Amino acid sequence: MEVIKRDLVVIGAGPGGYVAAIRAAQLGLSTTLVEKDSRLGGTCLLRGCIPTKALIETAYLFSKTKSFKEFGINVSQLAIDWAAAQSRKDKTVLRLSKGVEFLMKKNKVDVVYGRGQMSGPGVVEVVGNEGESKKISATSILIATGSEPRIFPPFDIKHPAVITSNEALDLTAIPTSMAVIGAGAVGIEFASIFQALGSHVTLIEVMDQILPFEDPDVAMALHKELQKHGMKIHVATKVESIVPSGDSVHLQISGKSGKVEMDVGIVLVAVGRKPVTDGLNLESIGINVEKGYIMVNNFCETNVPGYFAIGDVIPTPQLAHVASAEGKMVVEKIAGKETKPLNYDRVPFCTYCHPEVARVGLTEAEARKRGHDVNIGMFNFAALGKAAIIGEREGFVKIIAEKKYGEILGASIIGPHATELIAEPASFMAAEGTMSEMIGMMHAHPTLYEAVLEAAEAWAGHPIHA
Amino acid sequence: MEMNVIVPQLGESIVEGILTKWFKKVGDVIQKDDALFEISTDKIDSEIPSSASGTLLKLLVKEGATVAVNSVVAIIETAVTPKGDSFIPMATHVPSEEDSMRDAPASTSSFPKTTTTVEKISPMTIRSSPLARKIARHNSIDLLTVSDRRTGSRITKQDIVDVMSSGQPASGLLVRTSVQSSSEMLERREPMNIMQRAIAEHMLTSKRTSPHVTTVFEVDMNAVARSRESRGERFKAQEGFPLTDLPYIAYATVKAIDRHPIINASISGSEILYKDYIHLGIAVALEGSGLIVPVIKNAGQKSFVQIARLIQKLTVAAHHKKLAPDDVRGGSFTIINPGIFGCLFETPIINQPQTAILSAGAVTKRVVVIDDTATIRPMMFLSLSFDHRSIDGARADPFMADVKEMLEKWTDEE
Repeated sequence: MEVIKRDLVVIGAGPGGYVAAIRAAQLGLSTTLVEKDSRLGGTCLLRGCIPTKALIETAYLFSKTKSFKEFGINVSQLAIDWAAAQSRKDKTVLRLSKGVEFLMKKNKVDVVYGRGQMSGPGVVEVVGNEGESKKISATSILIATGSEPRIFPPFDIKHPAVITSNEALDLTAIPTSMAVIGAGAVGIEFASIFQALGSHVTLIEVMDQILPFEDPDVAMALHKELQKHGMKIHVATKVESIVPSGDSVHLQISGKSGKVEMDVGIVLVAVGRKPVTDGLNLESIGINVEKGYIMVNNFCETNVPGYFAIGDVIPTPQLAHVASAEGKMVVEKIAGKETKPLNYDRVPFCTYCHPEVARVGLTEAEARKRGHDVNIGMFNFAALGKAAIIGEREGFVKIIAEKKYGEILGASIIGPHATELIAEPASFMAAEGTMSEMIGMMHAHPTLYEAVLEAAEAWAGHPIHA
Repeated sequence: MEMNVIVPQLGESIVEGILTKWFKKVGDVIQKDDALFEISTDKIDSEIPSSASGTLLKLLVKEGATVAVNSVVAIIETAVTPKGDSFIPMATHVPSEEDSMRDAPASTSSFPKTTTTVEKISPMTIRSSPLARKIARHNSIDLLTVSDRRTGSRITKQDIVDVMSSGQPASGLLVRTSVQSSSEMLERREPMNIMQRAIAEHMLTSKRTSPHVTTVFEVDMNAVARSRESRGERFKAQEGFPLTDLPYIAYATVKAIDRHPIINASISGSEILYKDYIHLGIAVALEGSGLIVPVIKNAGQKSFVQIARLIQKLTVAAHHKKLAPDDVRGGSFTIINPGIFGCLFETPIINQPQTAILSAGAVTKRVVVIDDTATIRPMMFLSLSFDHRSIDGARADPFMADVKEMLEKWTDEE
């Protein structure tokens, strides 16, 4: 069998793997990218970030129409064309996936389609869909195989009405009713989409709050907003049973308020994602795997020299941008460049519901738990000119910074374009600008990001507009 | 074949220095022993000769970089394969091809203790985050010392935290830690070079260590002047350099020390350490700034002419930065000669761990009274600063009187 020799082979063409492959090629490493799907881009592009946000945009624009009259626009016969929305989503995905293919060609990264597995030290065997096999021998092997929806009892029901995010993207019709189990980012986003499109949505979360990892102030504000738009939310609630019957699914849940039963058209299970390591044959190399995750050090190196892992397959935040950052960092290290480990205390987290939620760095509770002496600066969009102009006055900016040096430890934003606005505190944190630099920065008026300045002023004890 | 040029062992206590100048550029053909680069350490500035002939292929560090002893700084393409380690004569360790070629320029892995070829950054180019600056300022950490430890990337909070947790004492003054105010625009900050910092430290240590007392004697240099007149031309013809007053002073000092060994002693704990040798240091002011004290070893056993020759040789070497580390070590007594600047007399600071230092002022013609007659004589003030822990006036002044007498009654038989 032909054995291809490479400096680097990357398994998995998601935002971790393909970005790593490009950077490797830029650094002069001969690189092969292995992908089991027929298209490049991984979960993010094919089944995650990109398609969901495409549908969210449809949902958002549709919900905006409710305020058209107020804006002086009269529209008649508004209706959702679900097939068109789906088609637009698919085109967006296809365009971006083709874009990744182009980038591979441009950077002279070989792409081999098929399932990669370890086949002896320094060798990856790729088995294609037709059973054809190729061996690639490489100095460095980067595993970026990502994750898939986690399913465990009682959610492990094989039925077309009990689905995960994968299937939710391709629903042929908007369900009249839907229960979403799990109020993390994925669950909230789908709940938000279908709520906006007219479904009766029930959101069920086992933890005490929706978005359990976000600031409780933010979670509570979102909770109220979603409820205001008709979503039913059960927190601290367990799913007892899921029984499909005919066209609907019977659901039993139990929480503080006792047992509740309901019948819904679709049950969407969004209780987390698990790393994909099956079939990689990692044990043959002796790579350390715990609870399904590949264990790595600060530099994404596994316990076996020459083997690296990034993205959802290692126990770091399961986010595309984290995977990309890890990919670039590890490849630079492989290429012998000076690198520093990533600072996971500066990761931005975005949830694309409406109003949007975004955070960078620590929550207030986490900051205090770590012993930081902090001040909090908050500012409500309700008092901001631009928010009034665009008619989205819900939400606030909350900045957490320690007192002594004004070090910005974190910021949470709920409100219009929060996922874009978070870039400002994230930039300050990356540059290690302190609160005095943030307060000293001129913010254009009228803009939404003035809310960040106002929150900073509030942190310092002298807010202008509050 | 390609050969690594490494920083030679410069002296037992020297682990690193600043590569201040490259005398050759990439592509230059160089001969063995051509000056290749200059290293500045806290003790000396040395020109390092090339240890092989060939073509300079690569310079791995920039001027101004701090380089560790034994680190690779350049690669020479040699025509022939050198034998053994003759290529790097002063080195104690020749790195292998692998560890030097690959690791040394970029990383600190080969020499973790001394931070190999870390880019030395001038304060103008230190990059640091506002947060790092705040923490540094608050904890009196010199950002220069932080950047020394890194590869020139921007200093962040983590770097400062690392320095603080490494227990390294926060030292020195802060470099540009604050936003420039308008008054600062009129001022300029420059880092002291290694030598300046070492001198500053030594001076302070000496003043803290020794209670200084200075005694001043006036010497009639008429006899010396006559000696110089009578033998000066012949001397210059023979030796190739002019005869000055300094060898006379040095020789008289050495002879006087023979009779007053306490002047040549040092203090070691609660004991006085007497020395059977006189290693005589002669301070040489360097161009620009800086001062170096080459040492005439065993000056007590040298003739007048030998001392004159050695002063000349070491002074020239100092000015040309050709002093070897051994040339500046081990002095037991020091003479400085500020008279050349017109100074009448100084109250010098003792060069530790020595206990006395002699300063020669300018020789000027003055009217003096000799045998109740006003006479014009070339006069000089000699001042001696001594450590009052071990030397008092009753010991210092007889020593000075002996020096004075020898100079005033100079006869060329000496």
